[in-house]
Amino acid sequence: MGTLELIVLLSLLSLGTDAYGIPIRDEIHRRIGRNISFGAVYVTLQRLQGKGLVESRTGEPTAERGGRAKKFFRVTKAGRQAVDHSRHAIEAMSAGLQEARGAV
Amino acid sequence: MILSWATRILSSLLPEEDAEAVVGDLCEEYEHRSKAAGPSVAGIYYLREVCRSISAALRLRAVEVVRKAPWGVAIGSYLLVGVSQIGLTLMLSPIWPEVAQTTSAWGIVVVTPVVASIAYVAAKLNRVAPFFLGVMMFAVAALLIVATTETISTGYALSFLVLGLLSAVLGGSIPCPRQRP
Repeated sequence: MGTLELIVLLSLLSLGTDAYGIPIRDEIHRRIGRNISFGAVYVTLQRLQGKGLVESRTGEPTAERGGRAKKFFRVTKAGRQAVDHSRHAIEAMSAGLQEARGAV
Repeated sequence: MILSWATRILSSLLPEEDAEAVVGDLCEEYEHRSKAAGPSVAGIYYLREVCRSISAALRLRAVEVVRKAPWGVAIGSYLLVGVSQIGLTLMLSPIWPEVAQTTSAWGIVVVTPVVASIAYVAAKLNRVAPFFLGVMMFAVAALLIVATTETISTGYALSFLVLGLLSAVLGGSIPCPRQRP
């Protein structure tokens, strides 16, 4: 799983069920200061959906969106497992890094 | 006017299912920024975001086209097999003349791993494309066997018929490590 995919998955988990493009992008910007385009957010979400890590549903159209509907995303069980797997790998490798630094 | 055209361009680049979501998000952001900082600032923001999203939208469109067109991937793979076969024959024939002969079993042996490798890559783009590639190879091999005026052995004909299909399907079945979460 790529870094951006992991970041988007983590933002979806922290946002809960009503996550769509704007809150996802804002959450990423708020947490890590990275300003991602909507296009990039949706490319990543489509990749994650293709892997079965997220699922989507279409909301109701609203006037402030020019009559367009929101597309809500949520993390699947496989997505949660993928996040746990990645976090475990990062923690294990980080521990190794600390050991190496301690040895120097 | 400019915003309307920018929206049309972006919408035309996006797959239908995502166009509504992306453009809707942009409109919502435009409304918020327009109320907070005025329409000019919001318009500049909108145009900048559209430009940033276009490259991502093009990638999204490419993914959708590939996902929905296994035959496209299979035909591309088949052409790649042909080009690779010609390249390999040209490269190897000075040192290994048997490879260049049209009914040489060595020619099939050399091409088989190439087909499997191309099918492996094709499977990353579209999971069923290797199967289509195999069917194409089988069909073309059958046509060539029927149409040839050369005398060929049954063993050669059978291996020519089956190995392309088998190597494409097997190459496409190799699990992709990057897809594992």
